[in-house]
Amino acid sequence: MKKSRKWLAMGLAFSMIAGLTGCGGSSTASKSVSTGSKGDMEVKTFRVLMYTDWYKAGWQALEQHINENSKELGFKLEISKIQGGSQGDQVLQTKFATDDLPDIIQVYKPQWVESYANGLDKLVDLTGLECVSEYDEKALDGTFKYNGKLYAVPIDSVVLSGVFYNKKVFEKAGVKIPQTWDELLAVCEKVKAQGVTPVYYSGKDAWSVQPPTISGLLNDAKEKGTDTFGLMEQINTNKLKYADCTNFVGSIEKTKNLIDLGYVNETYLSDTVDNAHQALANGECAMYINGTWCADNINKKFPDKIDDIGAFAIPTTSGDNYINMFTPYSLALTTNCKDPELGKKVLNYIASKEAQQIYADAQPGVYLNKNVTSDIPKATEDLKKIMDNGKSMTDWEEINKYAYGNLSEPLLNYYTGMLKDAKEVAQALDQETERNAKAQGDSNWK
Amino acid sequence: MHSTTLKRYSYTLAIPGLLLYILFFIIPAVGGLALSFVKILGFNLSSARFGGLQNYVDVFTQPNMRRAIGNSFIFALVTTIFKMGIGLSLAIALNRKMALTNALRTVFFLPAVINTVAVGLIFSSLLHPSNGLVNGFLRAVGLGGLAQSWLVDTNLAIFSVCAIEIWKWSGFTMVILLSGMQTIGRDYYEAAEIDGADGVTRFKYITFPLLLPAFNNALILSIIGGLKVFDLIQATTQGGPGSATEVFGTLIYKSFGAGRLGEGCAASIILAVVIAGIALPAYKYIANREVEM
Repeated sequence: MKKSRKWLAMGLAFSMIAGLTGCGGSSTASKSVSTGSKGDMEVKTFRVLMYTDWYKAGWQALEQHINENSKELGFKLEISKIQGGSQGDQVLQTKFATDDLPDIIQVYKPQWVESYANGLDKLVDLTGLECVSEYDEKALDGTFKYNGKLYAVPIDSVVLSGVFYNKKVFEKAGVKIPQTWDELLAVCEKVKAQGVTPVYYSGKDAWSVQPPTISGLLNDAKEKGTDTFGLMEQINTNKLKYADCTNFVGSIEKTKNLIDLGYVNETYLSDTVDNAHQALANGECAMYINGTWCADNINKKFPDKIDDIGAFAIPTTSGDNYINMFTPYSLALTTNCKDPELGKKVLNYIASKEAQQIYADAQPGVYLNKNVTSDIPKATEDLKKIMDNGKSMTDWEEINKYAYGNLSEPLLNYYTGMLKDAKEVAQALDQETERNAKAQGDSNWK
Repeated sequence: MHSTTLKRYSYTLAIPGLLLYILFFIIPAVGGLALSFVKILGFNLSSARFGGLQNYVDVFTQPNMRRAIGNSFIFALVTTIFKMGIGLSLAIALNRKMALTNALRTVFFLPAVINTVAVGLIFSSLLHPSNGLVNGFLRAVGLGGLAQSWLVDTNLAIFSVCAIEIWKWSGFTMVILLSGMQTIGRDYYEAAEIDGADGVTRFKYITFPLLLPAFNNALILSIIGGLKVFDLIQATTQGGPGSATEVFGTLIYKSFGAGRLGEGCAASIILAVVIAGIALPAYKYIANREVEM
């Protein structure tokens, strides 16, 4: 009995050692370089890291394509996903601080890596990639191409922000797309007379009250003869305050006027973005100001209603209207990659027309690669036309050096009467920017 | 000899626990205290520098600080009064043998075990001004005038969140007080009955004085929980609309969220000091009035 126990114990110990050896073997295989079988082209595995919410249909299709054709391509991908949001940001910041980086990393922007993770030196310069010729240089400048270096290639689609409207409601009210703010007010009046809510706000999802106010900042940039990059450069170096951006302050005031005039849904503080999409699709409201997520969501949830939805730029006083553009995410090669030359080829392939088309076919949208075509909703197409006509600017939040805090918080304080003046909303952003700049020790703020 | 071995044996057993306590409590606490004197933005370690008391000054000059302090104290006061009152009433009512006593105890305790995020989502839906069940019910029974924008009226929202907290935790207070009541011997009541004491007199002179240790614990837990509230506010209003329901906990969260780690640590330490400054004297005051059984 005793002897059999001893044998059993030895057997178990042996199987545990064997198991551990097995684990060790698999971890070696997951390192950045692995060799394929003899006679085949060498296939190297690249570790990619991204947030779970960024791994959508596009990435699924592209990963599948690459891994199924790895022998021809000479590489394959091993994608790890972590939770996004502020917790994910902190994980990424820690990974940059401790140099625990994969071969390829998906981030918001190289500027984010610089400002929030202090890790720009851990990204490989991709200047010279062939795929760049498939992109408008202007589209890459300032975001992917930064400080004279190409730090990343675009991945995923562009999001454009504008006014989404229900064509049937407009038709019934006998109104046309407004070009100026006064025309918008006239449209609201006629729509209201039909018993329909003219403009929908979704304050329960606080972030969604921001987009209507951004048109003012774009006009401030235009007035100063620059774009949002130029405008934010001045704000980032304390040469300009948000409170001095008169069009921005004006647009904040206008969005409150819409509430005061009774053009906004009464329960806007309790209503969500999903409520807004439903109301717009069903014609319970005429307009909703947000990004092209709106069209995507309506397309998914109310596919029979998507052709009723159109979009236009937020009208301004002058009628010189621009739309806000959120550039795609960035895919960058890190200095931890053991084969940077092949790593560059991997990124070159992912950003090429072939790979981007696979991505776009699985996940329709507006893509920066000029050669990619995609079946997008009509509303998104309306905004894309405006972008193609050069009337778009990169979103200001993406090129902020210092977090301005949460614009929606002072905005809602203003809407609910806790702040009396539109300028106080902009001043709240200035205060938060100053606190962050001082915490950083920026000499522009003394 | 035997005693020395025993002592060494018990110390050895305590080491793993002590190590974990030092690793996960003492070191982070000391680290947090040290970081509260450092000016730093995010993980940009090269920008870190000694900032003296500046982080503490920054905490007090936050734009929403006054509102956050006010709301934290309103929340702690209102919820403590109601949780203690309702908890005590339920404990008295259920400290007797009835057919449904055990079932009712479970029912009243149940909200305490529901996930706070789920509670937030459920109440956000129930308290929606136009589609919510609460306003729907009020309108259906002809009390439409009482229908309110419960979670979005800037003057009402903090009290609505208080009501949710009271609903969630009164059962928990009841359980603490019930356990205290069950330690009181029957002899006291029998003697009082012989002396002709009525229910109120028995409560005043027997139940409440002997319940004080449990009452004290429940009260202190409620005050501490109220002052450091974060999860319920985040789950229901996120401190909004705007900053109408901002509390100290959400301010700390925002400082950390913005990457101002030093300021976040300073705010956490201030909160700990404030809680200790209120809870300890309160505990001592009541503890001095406790009677021996």
